[in-house]
Amino acid sequence: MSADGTKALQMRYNLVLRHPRATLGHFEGVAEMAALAAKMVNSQVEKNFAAFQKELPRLLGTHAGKFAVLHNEKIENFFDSFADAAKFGLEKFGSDNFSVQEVTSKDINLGFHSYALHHHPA
Amino acid sequence: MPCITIPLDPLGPIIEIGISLPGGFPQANPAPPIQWIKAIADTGCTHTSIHHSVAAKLGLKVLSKGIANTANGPAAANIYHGDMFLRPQIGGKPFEWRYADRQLLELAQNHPKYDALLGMDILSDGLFSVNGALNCATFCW
Repeated sequence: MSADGTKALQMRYNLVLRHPRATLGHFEGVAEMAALAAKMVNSQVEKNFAAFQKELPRLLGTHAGKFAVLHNEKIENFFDSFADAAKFGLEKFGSDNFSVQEVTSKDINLGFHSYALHHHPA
Repeated sequence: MPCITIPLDPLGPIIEIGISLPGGFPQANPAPPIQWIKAIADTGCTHTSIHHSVAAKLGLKVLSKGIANTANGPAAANIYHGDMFLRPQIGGKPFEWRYADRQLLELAQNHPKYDALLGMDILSDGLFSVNGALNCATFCW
């Protein structure tokens, strides 16, 4: 998404959030905001995630616990921390043009709240 | 050792946390604005999570995805990049304690009482205890 497009979406969010009945997470426009939020996801993240999942079984044997920086569905580098990976990606590829994936086999678990997650089949 | 005392709500311990765009290290000057929101401190959650409306308002970027367990089985979930803050009293004054460059999972559920879950990625940094007699919880780190 272009910078102008992202800015336009954020302006629209702010308009929705100024609604007198709006709180951050509880108001009539939630469905609309969820749809807009989905559009704000960097397309690199989706593509890179699919490529990363294919590589993950192999990476668990060689880079477990590291954070991989991906660009155009290719792993560019590994780092010890999420912060270092994000900094490298931002400097080398620019905002919205890379993603970071942790090399781990551990699932995320929100306990009681797990039912509340968006369901996009893995 | 900073500590925060958290009142117990019937839903659980509800704590105020701050979220902002990543400010870098050292922190950018001026620092990005902080959005203070209500969160449930939940030892059942592996990851701190924020409602997508919070991320949208602040303009946080989705930088990663993870596989999360849901009622319908494993699912891919968005992970935002941002800074998180707690506000302990230090020397009798409130202090904004920054956790820089955190992975913040997207929470789809909307609830009138909270917009976030404070998970074990933060709580495991210290001692989290619940005092039923005093109807409060304490987090020290």
